[in-house]
Amino acid sequence: MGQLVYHEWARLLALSSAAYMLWASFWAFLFRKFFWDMIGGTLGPAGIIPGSNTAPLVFITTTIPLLQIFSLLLSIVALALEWPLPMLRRTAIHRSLTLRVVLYFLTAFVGIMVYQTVDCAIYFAITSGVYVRAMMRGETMAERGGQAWSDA
Amino acid sequence: MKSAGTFLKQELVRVVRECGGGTIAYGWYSQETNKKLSGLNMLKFSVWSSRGAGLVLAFDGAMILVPMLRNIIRIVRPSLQGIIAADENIWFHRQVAYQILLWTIVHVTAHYVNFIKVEWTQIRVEAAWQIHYTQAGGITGHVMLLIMFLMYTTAHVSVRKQCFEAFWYTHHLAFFWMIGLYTHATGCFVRDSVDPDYISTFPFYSTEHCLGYESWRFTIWAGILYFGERVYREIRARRKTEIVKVLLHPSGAMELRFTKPSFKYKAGQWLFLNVPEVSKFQWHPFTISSAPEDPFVSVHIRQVGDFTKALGARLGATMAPASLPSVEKRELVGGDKGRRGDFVEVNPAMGKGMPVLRIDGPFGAPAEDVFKSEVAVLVGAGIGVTMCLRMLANPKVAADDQIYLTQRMDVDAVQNITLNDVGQEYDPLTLLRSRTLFGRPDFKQVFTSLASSIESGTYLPGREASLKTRVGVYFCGVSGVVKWVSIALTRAQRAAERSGATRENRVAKGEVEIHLRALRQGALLKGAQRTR
Repeated sequence: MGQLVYHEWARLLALSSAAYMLWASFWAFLFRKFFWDMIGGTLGPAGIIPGSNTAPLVFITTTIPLLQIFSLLLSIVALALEWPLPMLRRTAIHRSLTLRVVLYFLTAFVGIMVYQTVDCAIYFAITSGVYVRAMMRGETMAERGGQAWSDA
Repeated sequence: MKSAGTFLKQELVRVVRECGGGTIAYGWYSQETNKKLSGLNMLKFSVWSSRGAGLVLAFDGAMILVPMLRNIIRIVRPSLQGIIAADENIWFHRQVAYQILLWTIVHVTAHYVNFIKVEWTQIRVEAAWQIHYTQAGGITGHVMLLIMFLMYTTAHVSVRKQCFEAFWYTHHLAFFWMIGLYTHATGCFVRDSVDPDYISTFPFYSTEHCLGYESWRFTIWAGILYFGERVYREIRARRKTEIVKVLLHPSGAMELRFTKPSFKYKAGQWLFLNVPEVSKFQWHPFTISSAPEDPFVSVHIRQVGDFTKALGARLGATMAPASLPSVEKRELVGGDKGRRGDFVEVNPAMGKGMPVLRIDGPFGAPAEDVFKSEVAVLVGAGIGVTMCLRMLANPKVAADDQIYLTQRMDVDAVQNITLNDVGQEYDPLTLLRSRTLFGRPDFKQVFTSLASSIESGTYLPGREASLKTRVGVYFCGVSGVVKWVSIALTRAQRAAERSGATRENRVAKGEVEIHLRALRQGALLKGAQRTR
């Protein structure tokens, strides 16, 4: 009974994931850590000493917080897209489910690199999956107002 | 004057918040000052906040189940009346959920700092990822977080309205969340020993060195009670129930009459109804429209949502209203005042018997409460009006009621009513002595004039003798309307507060207390659901 409109639920998932990532990104600037540094790394007296295989990724997390900047920006983009910002409302960008699937998968990929954003990266991956499900069901976002989603 | 409802709401939130505030303070203090935990205290603020927030979460983890103990609330409620607005249990449940979210953010943020500090200082020889993903505290924590991500989003009103199942099934993840909560500390993270001190007997860690709060010893009782309640509800719902009659009223409302010998109720209570054939797990709340002395139990169901329509189709209540007796032919059924004769009995399609019906309940406050207040305003929205009619038909009531008709009707029907209206002793629509008024009522106006006429002593003369006049506002129907009513009520109360003259009057003539109570909690809950 009842039809769940997947992309409307996915919007709530995306907002939660993005809010989480925004918050976690701030902390990721303060406590910088590449999450996967245990691969090839060894546990020393001041924490994990990364191996040479992860060195470049450790560099863009700890020396320059590049991944954190990305995750911060991506979470803001996600919030702007989902809330949405008034100028985005009902534009082609706002109505694109494909854009979301790709964007959130990318966000998940970036997020999973950083210690603090691993969980919300997983949430973004789930969100992306729910948007895929919405597309498979043939749901579309209405051009204006209403909930004109099809149920093919 | 603040309405008791608003007051209670604010009080309840304050209690939860202050318990939260007090608890975090205690948790923080007990961690910071514990000499045994001086190792952990090297982590400073992060560990103090994680421990403080953790204790609040343990408390909230128990509190979130308390408002869901429907049967226990029903039993306890009469003694709590006036102290706790037990009817607003789902509202309270939500407030606790918001608290849990807040303290989870604090707790998790603090732990992310804790574990990275443990790794960097090596006060324990382990890496942050190991604490997160290989130890009981970390694993259960991440699982609970993921569950919350799914539960909170599907509990949003838009999802509940669209697809109640999506909410209902997902919300049962709470079972695993609770398991996570009770076992969160089994990894012995808070300890004064180098390694976790596991033992071979329950609870498998020694409380000598594992110095967590042991909060599960207290919080688990709410979980056990809730589990017991669910089992009991399941058993009770399966007791013998038989549909005896299905009546189709004009406008498509159907009346379901059934017998269930084990079912005892009082007027004004409501029940949950389930028809496995229509939907296996959907339980829908309906107000009981029969009187306890009737030989059957009845509910009026308007076919508007997909569940009620599917139920109507299954029961054969799909006839077009045109084939029903017309307005002119309406007559009072002899001796059955308050009931009309304009319904037809319907039956399921050929070859199909009556479906299995399961009933859970009764729940809610008996309508007898209505008679405790001197002035009662009954707001019955939509099908909720049946409830009010039942009560007004009670001989104990000196009814001075106004019924508003807001449904869109065609000109003929209105004509008909108007014609019938002239010179009749009973109102043609409701069969009550009072007249039906048309249009949406201005509730603020209604309440304000009511309050001022009580204060001036023109309404119910003689009431001044007692100091207080209780005006109970009772509501039954869809949630949209309850919002207007409560907004109007608040405004009327504020207006009364502002006028100084009225206050003096109140001192002289006695106080007017206005309460808003949802008569049928199902009504509020209903708004959260898609179908009705």
